[in-house]
Amino acid sequence: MKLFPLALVVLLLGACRESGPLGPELQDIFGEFEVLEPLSQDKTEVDFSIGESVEFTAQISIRTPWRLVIRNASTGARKIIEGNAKDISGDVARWNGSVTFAPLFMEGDVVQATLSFTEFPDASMMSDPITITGSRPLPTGGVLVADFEMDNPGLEAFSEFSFEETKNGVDSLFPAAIGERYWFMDGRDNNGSVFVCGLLASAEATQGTSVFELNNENPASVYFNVFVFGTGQPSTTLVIDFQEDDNLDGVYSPTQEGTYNITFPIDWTGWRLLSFPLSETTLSTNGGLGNIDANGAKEIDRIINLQFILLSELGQNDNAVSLGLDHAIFTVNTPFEP
Amino acid sequence: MLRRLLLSAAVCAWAIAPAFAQNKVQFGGAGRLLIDNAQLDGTLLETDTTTARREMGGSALFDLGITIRPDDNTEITAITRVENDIDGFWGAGIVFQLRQLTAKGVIANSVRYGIGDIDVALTPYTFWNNASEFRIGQTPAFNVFRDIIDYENFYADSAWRQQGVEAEWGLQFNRGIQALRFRGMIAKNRQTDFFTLPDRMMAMGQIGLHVNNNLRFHLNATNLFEVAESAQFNTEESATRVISLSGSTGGEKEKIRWRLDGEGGASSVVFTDIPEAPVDNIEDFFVDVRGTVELLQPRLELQLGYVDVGADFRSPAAQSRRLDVDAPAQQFGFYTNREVQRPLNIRDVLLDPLVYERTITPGLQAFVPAWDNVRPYGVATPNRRGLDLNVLWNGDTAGRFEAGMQAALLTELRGEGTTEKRRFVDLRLQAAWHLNRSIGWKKDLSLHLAGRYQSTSRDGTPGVSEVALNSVIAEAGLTWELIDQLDLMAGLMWYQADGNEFIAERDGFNQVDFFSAYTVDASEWFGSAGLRYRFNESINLSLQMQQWSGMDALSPQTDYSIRNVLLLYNMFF
Repeated sequence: MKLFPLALVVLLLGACRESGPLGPELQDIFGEFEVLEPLSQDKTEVDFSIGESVEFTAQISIRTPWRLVIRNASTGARKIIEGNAKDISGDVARWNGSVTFAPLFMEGDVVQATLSFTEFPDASMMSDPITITGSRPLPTGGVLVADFEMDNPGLEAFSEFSFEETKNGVDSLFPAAIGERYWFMDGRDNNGSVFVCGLLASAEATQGTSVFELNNENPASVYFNVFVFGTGQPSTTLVIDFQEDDNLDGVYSPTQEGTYNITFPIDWTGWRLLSFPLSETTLSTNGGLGNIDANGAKEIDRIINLQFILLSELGQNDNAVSLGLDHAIFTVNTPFEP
Repeated sequence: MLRRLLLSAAVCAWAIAPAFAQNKVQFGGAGRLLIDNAQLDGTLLETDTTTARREMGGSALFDLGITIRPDDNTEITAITRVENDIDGFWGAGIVFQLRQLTAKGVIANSVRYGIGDIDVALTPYTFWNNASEFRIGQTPAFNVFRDIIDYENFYADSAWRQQGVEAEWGLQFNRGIQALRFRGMIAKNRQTDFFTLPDRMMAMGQIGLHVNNNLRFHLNATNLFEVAESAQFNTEESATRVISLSGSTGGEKEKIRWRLDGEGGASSVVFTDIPEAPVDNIEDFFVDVRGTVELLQPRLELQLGYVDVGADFRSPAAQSRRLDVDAPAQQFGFYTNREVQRPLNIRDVLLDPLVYERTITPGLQAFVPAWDNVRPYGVATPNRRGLDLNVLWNGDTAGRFEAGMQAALLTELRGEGTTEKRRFVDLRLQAAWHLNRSIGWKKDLSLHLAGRYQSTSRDGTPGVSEVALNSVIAEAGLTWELIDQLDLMAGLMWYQADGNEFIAERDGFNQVDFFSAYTVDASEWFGSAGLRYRFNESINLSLQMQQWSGMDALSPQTDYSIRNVLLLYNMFF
């Protein structure tokens, strides 16, 4: 009987609990898949130069991963929008003329969108053709590191062994992401060290300043953006290093000053825009190569050099790798969205 | 009344002062040499031309601990580690580490304190380091590696290793109540990046009221909180607070002991200045009541418990998991020609210390339903209600047998994605037979057996299939002292699971926002046999041959097996 009050308290507290199901309805995810409303768009002509956008709409019966690919079949330019909402409309499926895979969408281009579903490959559908009457203006602002249109004498190409690198310089063999030219790295890892070649862009050579002047010290607000051309070789890996002049003496000392970096497997074919906030970079783990930060903290107002490193990550089966770089630029508050 | 109580109180320090009356400087430590030669085999290799077929690795390490006692009330312990990978020739792969630095002592003969690396545990619902999966038995051949995992990851029983400061203080009374105890700890859980990621702190406190030897109450509290101001560009912060009241009473009459333990409490998760966070605090409570009867003749212990843990009950220090199921394995970490990360198997769980976590995390971490779907976050697993029945038979008077059984029959409090609720059954058995005592041998000959059966079920609803997931784990071990100090050790673990589940995916605020379908039809076995020579109680050398084999009916093309020979020299001093 003494436990009765306690049991009563538990029962009363239990009655206060929410009793409905946790999370979304399973029926909405694993129920029968049906297209309730086919893919359509709110306009067939769009002028991005005056801020117009295209809103795609479709309705399906369940939440499932989908991908909307807007493509110019003649140039290969693609914009990819992904989601898993069952009501595909509004901001989740709005296109402002920007691009995911370069080249850029231009005035006069005719594009068509395809909506496909990972788990229901037979259910893909297409929009009507859309004509671009005005292209999206290239965003202004930011700190352009290199557009590779000139021979860029300030950029420094380097490799572990010259016989491993077959190309490491400005090139124009295929269309650039923006403009006419780009940087191309091509080589083979012969000695199993993973590293093939690299490109160093210093603040002094590209900006004429001792460090990159980003006018913002918050790594979460500053984005680095670069178009990367993938050649489909599975071993290709790109490391982007941000070297800090921690003591502001104008020289980067790799054994004492920090390098913050980020790694991307380049597993696509064509030009793709990579954008990331500098908060996603982490201190180098390479002993003697920037793994010690004299000040013990990431300081983006002290970035003195950028390095693009080409690695052949697997190195066993197919150790030939290559990639292209174009339009490397820092932006503040938002990613570069051409 | 209170004034009279306080006046009759005597301030005292707890337990630690006498321990200091020893040598001023004391050395201790551990050493280990491990060489492991493993070979990959199986169907996988018919299509996988990339993964290396053999891996030989290992390391030699030496931990040197120095304990200095400058006076009777102060003790400083430092443990340094020198480690060299087995392929780090001539010192090329050598690593020096400070593994532990702790200062502890007694202030004014009243307050016990500890600073630096400290081990902290409270109750299973507030601050508790739960055992990980596949620890169902006591097979010595496996315990060798379980001990290494525990040592490497600072798992001391149910305590989490923290870096901070703790203090303990007590009052003893001559009348009324027996004693009051106060405990507190604060530690850093995460370091700020100075810009956007703030410091995260872990704090706990406990007030203990000892009415008499048979009646005790504890008020327990923990708080995992962020300090927004510690990051220059951050205003967001979150805190998870837990408070509980636990009590324990008991008695003894003739040949029967009884005990009643209970704990009840609540949690609250608060988000501040985070626009996308839930508007309301996430709050819930739990209740746990257990009655135990112990018969002294025969030595039999029976325990019946009732638990009710709310679906939104959050207690990071009690729900954090040891095993990181998404961690890459140390050996053959990637496989197939696409070099994808190899999922962990029971061999990795039993042998690899690097797949375990050392820190308390605010979110509910991922788990493998086929390995443990009933209580993946320990007894504090949210959304569980039901009964626990534990039976422990401590053996006959000659100590020949001992056995235990635990059963849990639970249901969910709230369905996940449906109004239907899951039902869980967890049944465990352990037994040890010391054969040498049965046949009058002086040398050790012991057989260890253990098993676990789990089932999860939920009725289907229109458009959504039912849930039916079953798993079995069995473990057997043999230890035989062949000649003086030379043991034959053998162990076998078998695991099988089949069925389906829906795995809840959670957002950054621990709220379920999606489900993924999960299907399993797999079995694995791991065997280990070898010899161990015991130089003395704390130094031994063992040579073991091991084989792991797995079969996944859903992707037979990636079936593989690993066999290895392992040399282990272990020393504690």
